[in-house]
Amino acid sequence: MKQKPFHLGGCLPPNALSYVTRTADQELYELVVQFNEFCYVLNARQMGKSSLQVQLMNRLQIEGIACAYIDIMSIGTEQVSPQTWYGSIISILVNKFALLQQYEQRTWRNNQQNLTPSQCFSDFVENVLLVEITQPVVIFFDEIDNILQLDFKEDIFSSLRACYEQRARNTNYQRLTFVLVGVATSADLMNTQTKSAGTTISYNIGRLIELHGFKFDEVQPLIDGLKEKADCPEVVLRKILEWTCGQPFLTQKLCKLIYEVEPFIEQETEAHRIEVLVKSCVINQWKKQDDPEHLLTIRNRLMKNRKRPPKQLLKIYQKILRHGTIAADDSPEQMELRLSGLIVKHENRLEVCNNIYKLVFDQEWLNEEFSTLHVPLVNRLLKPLQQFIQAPLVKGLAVFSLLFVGAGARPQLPISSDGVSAGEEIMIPNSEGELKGLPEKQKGVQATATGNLHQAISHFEALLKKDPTDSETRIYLNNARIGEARNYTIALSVSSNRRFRWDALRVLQGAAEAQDAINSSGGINGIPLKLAITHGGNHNKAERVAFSLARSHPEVLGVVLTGGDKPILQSAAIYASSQLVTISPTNSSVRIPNSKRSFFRLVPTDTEMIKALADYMLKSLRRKKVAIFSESQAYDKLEFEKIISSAGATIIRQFNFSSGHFNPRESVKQARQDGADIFFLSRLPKKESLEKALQIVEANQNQVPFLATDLYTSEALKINPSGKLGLITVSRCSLDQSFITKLLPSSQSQKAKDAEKIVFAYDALQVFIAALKQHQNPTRSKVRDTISNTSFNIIGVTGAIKFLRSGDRNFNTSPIRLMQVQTSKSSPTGYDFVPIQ
Amino acid sequence: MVRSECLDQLRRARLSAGYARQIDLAETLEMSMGTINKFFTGNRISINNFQEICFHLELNWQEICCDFSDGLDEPGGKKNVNPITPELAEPSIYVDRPPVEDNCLEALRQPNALLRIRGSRRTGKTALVYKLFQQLNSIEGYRVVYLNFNYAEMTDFGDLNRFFRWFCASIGQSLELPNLLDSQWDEDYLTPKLNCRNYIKTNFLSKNEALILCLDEVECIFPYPNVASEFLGFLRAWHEHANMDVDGILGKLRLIIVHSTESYVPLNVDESPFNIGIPIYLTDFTLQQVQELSKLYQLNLIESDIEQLMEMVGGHPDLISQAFVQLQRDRTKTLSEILETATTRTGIYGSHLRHLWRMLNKYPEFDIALRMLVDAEGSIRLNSEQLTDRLFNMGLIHFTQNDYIILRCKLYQSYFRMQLVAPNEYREVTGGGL
Repeated sequence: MKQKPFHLGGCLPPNALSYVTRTADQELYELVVQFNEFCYVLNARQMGKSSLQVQLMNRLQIEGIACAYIDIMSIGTEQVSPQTWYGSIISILVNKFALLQQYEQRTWRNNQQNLTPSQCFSDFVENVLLVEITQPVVIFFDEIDNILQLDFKEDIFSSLRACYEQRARNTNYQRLTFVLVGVATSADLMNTQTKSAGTTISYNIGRLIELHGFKFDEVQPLIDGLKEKADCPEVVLRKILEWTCGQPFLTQKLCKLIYEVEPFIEQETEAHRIEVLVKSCVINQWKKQDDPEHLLTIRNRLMKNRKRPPKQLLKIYQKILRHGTIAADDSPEQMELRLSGLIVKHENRLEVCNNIYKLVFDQEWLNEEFSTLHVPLVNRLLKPLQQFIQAPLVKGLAVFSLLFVGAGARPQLPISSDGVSAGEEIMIPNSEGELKGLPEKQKGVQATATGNLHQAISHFEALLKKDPTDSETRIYLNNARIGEARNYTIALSVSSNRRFRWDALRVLQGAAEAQDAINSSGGINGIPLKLAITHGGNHNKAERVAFSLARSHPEVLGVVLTGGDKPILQSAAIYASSQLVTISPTNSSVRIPNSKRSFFRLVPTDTEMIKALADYMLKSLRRKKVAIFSESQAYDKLEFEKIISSAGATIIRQFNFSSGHFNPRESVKQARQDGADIFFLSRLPKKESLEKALQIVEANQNQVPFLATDLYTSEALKINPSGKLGLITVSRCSLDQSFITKLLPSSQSQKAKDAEKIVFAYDALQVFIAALKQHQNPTRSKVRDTISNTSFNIIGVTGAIKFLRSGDRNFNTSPIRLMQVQTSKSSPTGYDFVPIQ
Repeated sequence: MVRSECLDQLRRARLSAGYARQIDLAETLEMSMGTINKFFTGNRISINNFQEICFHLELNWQEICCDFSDGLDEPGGKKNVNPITPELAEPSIYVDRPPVEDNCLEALRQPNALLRIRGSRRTGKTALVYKLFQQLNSIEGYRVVYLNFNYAEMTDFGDLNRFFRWFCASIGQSLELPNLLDSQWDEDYLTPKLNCRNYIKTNFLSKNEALILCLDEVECIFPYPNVASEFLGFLRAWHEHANMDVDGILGKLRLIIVHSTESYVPLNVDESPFNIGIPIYLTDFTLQQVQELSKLYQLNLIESDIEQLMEMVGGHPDLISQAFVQLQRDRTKTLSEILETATTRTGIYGSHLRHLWRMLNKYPEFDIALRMLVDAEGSIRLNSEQLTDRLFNMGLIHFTQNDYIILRCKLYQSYFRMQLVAPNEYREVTGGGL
């Protein structure tokens, strides 16, 4: 088969005809062979780094030098411990140099537990590799940027440096040379600890090889490849380089296109033909023609940069684009731009790498990218809509009315950039279900979104004077006061659905209370707490919010996850795999595999509550003839049945109250006729069930004791007195009364269930605050490790908080309390829940 | 788990709920195919899934549940249970879409080939793979392995070692090779990625024989960012550096990656293999291909019939086939009769349309875009490229020129117009209680 002369994407095979030898090839060769220096090739993607190594290895092996190539990417960055990382490196070298026998004789592999992994590596290098291999050895480490993601990267770099330092002690080491290659800056390779002491790790013992684009006097192989396709292939290449400035990928791509697709290029037409080719096949509609991906890789490296905010990178790029060149200062932002490949440094000034980039990433592109940052999607959509309406050929008015009639007819869904707001958007619906607020709130949010925090603060303050109960605004105000200062961020995920508006407000109230308290007392080790609000409590958004928090919001260190089973189930695995701790303040039912130990709950599970009720029924009330009222979907009923049946109680009758034929009065009557002496009501998974449940309780007329897990609610106190007496239910915590009075001074009647949501949200934040306090530089994984440690415990307003291995709360110290309805003078309804002693 | 005597009842319930294939139910419930398959074969699954499936099929779960306490346990536990490896099903009918088939075959005959077949769901991706395998395996003698990620358990995705072991075990099982994971997998001293690389190299590849590996429904891995980035990075590294392998063994592995573009997942491009290799897009059927298809279904359609159908659904492979299946099944109905109710929820395309509508409703930002598209007389341009791409990936639009787009077919236009004017239950946001 005839070998195609041009090759695109991935690295060139060793025998590729189109390989272009650059000055860097010779430089690297000499440094490695003659001076056996450690070398670094650090540059952007698709600059021919891997191909360079292949060629050099080929050349060295011919000269009898032993070479090994280690692609760090193939070792991985997840679930990688020092032991497996070094183990993998050793294993690759063992396989490469066929050292299995000698290696297995080293006893440490089997029984010496007291050597650290890096010591094992040094031992292997010194006593196996350099003893068995008597030639010079060059080891290539490619894709070293993957090392930078490891917790123990500094250990790795010191191990490599140690090999250099050993040369003085053991001359064998003089035969060993490393070449490190990757998309990284020299600053990345510096040791953060030694850097402050004025020295740099490994970097100062090696040499950095500059890798530039192809120069005209280097591209003979490409000229040869195009011989059959042009009168003057030299001129063609010259024109190509004018467009690409020798950028290897683009240059190869154009050559390949000419070789495979283009008709013959005649003399004198070169400039025109190449221009047309570049514009039609690369620049025009570049996103659709970018295959294999190159331009998109650059774009994404800027826009999805994890180290520097994209906005800053774009601003610097815009400056360069406008002025042609700016002074290089090696700031982290500039280095990121250079690593993308878009910008190159030339005589201490920065410029755009080539003319193709200039036309692709032009001012228009910049405007578009700027507009996608921080601007809610709706604005982006409305812009074309306005143009659309003005266009004469469309039925503009019809669209307009359709759009707005539609919008008015039902609660408008929130439209947001990524569904996470620390003040840039309103997240809690008003009583009409719209994501709107009073004018002050709207203005405050807009001011926050545009970065005008002083204005935002005054708007938020004005609003809180009008409506001090708006907890969302309290949080945004606290956030605005933090400004740009360093902070720790916890996300609160609530539902945007109007039906759960009240619940969401309670959660935010608890959170705002916790934020107020910690920030006014000087923060967490001096660092203030920021709260971001998300719509992760909606089951149709939970997954997306989780992705967004996990990937695009590295500042978020933990999540308070409210909502029912569905949103939690959909997002828990995503949070777990990004090491984010999630705490559900109020969900008692969801069961998720918690192998990563990242999901925690603060309330007792349904099972625990049922056990408490069953226990009370059997031991204190001594009743054994039960009638059960349940919904068809209630699984707690079965657990209850199991517990009481094994204790000798009988189930007289069962009623499914979600069935259409169910009649509360008739059913209650029937149950009593059959001899039931106690009633049990299962969990109420749907809000709609509450009313029906209350009808059953009411129909009972206090004839027999009535057990219910889910009726610790103020609504239960409002039904007829004869009905509610006899109701026995569960309080999920023993509340600190003084705290409740402080939070809810005016509305005593609400206190039962409402207070629960507030205090559990408050305590969820207390857990995070306590965990953050334990670290100087808290990270997601540190927070997770701290909270998941079984010795972690704090005293919250809901009592002592400790977690079991399952992530459930340990209630040994503060047992579940049963409540019954009794008359009370302090309650406006005349009745209240009173703990059963 | 389900009592064995109820299995038939389940199947009937599934069919009467309108799910001809298990995979359709899996998609609606957003569960893995493995879970659904286990449910219908009487294997144990988690209680939450169990209840949700039953609820959806209007079954009383307590009646069909074998032992309650059993159902409560989380699945899994043992590591070396042999994974379910489905056979690559033969498509009942296949129409060639030249030059796609030949391009793919040509590419796969080269060392270190990597094909990416992408498109919205049910556009014939898997059928194409079957066709390719038939040629490569039966005629040219290549070893082929088909692996569907939908059959992995959710727990397989939770842990890298576990995932890579599942991956290796599944390939081994397809090749009918012994499972040597326990003796060869060195969890103490090697990273999961390297273990996997070694295992594949040692057990499945040799100098003389290529292995063509098809990974179908790769999107199932997307929701697990850590596993996804490592696994996709693994494929990428393999492909990019196979050229450096001196003895050429790595290049013996040739990959076909098939993924549906509907789900919206941000991926790190530096790590994903979705910007390397050769992309294959499945185009719509041409008039000629539709005619050919109608003959394969033994339908006596005249040209005007076919034109009428294509006027409604364009060349959409799935929609065309559905119509033909229907005509074949019920000979008393005419095409016109079928098309009359096509745009309604209960019509022939009801489940397809409802599926799209559910997807669209997850992302409120589609709302305005959709309204614009539905009412446009010609093509329009959205300011948000991201949104445009997502609509395209869902198979909803065609590009006319540059960034100008148009709804893919008349069917969509009519249906969405109806939906947008009359809000129905799907528009309701149903959140969870606190």
